Amino acid sequence: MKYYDLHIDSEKLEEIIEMAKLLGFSGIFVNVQNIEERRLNENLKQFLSPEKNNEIELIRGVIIKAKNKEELKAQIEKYRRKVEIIAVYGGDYEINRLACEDNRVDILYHPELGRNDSGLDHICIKSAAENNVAIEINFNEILKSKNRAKILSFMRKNIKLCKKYEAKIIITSGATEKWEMRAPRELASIGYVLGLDLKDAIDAVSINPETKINENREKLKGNIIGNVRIVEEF
Amino acid sequence: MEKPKILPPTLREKHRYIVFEIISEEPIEYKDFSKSVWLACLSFLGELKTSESEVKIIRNLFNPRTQQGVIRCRNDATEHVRAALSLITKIGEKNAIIKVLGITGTISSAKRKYLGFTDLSNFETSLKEGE
Repeated sequence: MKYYDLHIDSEKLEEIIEMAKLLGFSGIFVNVQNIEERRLNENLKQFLSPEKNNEIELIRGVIIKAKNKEELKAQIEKYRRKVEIIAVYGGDYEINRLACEDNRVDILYHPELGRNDSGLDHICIKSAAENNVAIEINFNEILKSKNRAKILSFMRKNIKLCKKYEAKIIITSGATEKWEMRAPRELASIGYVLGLDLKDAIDAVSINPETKINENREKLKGNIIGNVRIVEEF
Repeated sequence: MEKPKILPPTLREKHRYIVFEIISEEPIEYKDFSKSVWLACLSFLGELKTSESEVKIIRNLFNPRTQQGVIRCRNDATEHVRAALSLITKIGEKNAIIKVLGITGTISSAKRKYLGFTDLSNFETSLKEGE
């Protein structure tokens, strides 16, 4: 089974890749905003080209930190046709809701960040399920929070709503350095403790990210237009 | 002191054995490790759930050379213990990650599958030689 970690925001890519190999990931997220083309050495360039079969895939993505509607829409428009994963940095209710209602967004990161409530309601989750936006459970949030019980209860609420409306959940480490990474099966166990079924929890680190990535790669190649998939050309 | 008799098999608790490996900057001693496991379990699961899950670190299977070992717990609490283990960030002021290699039903299968012992008859001596 292939495991993916879709939220890693670090500039020390070499260390992260080494650790991901140790922990048994087959692909990790790379924030394109962190990488400047000239700073890349040969080693990393090899990883970033998707044609070559490496031990670890690097998934090019972007984390959008927007303050209002206009900024968010402009940023999504700018990156959608360039990167494989578009993630929105949640926390503000307005941004959370806008992200859920936009089908160009792939993942909504930590909707409960810095809040006194879960940050999502039934309306958001309903539209997230319709637009195929995945909701993230961030492990780093649990690890670093001062009041762990509070964060866990908000995550539990979000998971309950996602289960009801069948929205996708993705569990990630949210690491900013290599010691904050965890093995995929451990991340899944956090999902299980918070109320997911065991199968769904394992899917949240393997099948859900994989389908998302494959779908977006097909779209970037031009094989999917709208709801139509090109199977064969005559 | 006289011990109580061993329970018949149907009345015994069912256990699982979690085989783990420590990834850290420097090698870690057993003492620091067991302390941090207990702290993590008590802070994340609470006293009640920890007592239910019957966590026990098996001391003579902890190998300081390879940094591998075995933790015993109840069969329905494996995921909870696993989640608690994942929340450990530091062991004795060193950065560390505990990675679970697998879960088995008996100690002998844990030795054979994950700890790399082919002949189990002289397990104790081979462990000492390895050090």
